[in-house]
Amino acid sequence: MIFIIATHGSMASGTFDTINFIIGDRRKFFVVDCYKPESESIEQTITDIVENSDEKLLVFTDICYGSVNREVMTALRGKDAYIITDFNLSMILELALMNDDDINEDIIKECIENGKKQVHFFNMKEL
Amino acid sequence: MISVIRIDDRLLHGQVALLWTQTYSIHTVVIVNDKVVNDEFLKMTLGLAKPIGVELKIISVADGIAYMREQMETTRRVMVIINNLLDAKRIFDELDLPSLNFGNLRERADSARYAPAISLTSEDIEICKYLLDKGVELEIRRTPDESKTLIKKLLNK
Repeated sequence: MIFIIATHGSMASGTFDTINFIIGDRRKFFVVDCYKPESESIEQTITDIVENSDEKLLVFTDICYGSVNREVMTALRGKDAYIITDFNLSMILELALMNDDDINEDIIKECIENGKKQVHFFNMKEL
Repeated sequence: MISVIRIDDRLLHGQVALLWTQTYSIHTVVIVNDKVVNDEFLKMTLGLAKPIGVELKIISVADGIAYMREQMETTRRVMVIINNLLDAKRIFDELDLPSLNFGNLRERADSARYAPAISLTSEDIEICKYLLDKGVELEIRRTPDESKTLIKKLLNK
């Protein structure tokens, strides 16, 4: 399983940095910081990754309605890949710590639900 | 009424969905593009970018021109998005519209960068000159609160 993070600007490399900080570099990620002056085209970057591997892809994109997600979807049309949009750190961490063999569609959906549950609100004046 | 016509090679995306539709109180966003209209997959992915409470239409250039002609007579606020200047020429040849907003045009073969998000090919520049001669304002703004950068000035025209 190849993990890819693709975002507007540097959130992808920033997220990767944070993941390494927390769990070390036990899993390889491709990071795609999009639309920066030095960025390659998303489609080209994703296509290069697909063509150089026969592993399934797991792609995290920053926001469902953004063009990064759309371009990733376009590049991966019909390919052996899963996409998670609007990821959060807990989702990625949970999946990154699993063995490839254990990652399947149901597990991914479960991790998404677990990640959503980690979003909390606190009004500190009332605590 | 046609509130904005925007040229953006990413068509509809977060920046447009969030900022432009709010600033201009847009009722309907119309993506006018001959390629997308025949591609169900692209239409699905563009549908993901649809802002809540705004209608999204995806139509061909020919249908787009007819639709715009009709909407120019109404009070509904319509935003039109195209992704290339050839389509702009087709539209502005048919309809009397005052202004074209430039959002994103990425680098392509034979293009030169005129603004951070705007690269133009020699063919693009010819169309820009043609539209300027017709009296169309060509203005670059990625977000609606930016001040306009006029293509006219960049081309020293």
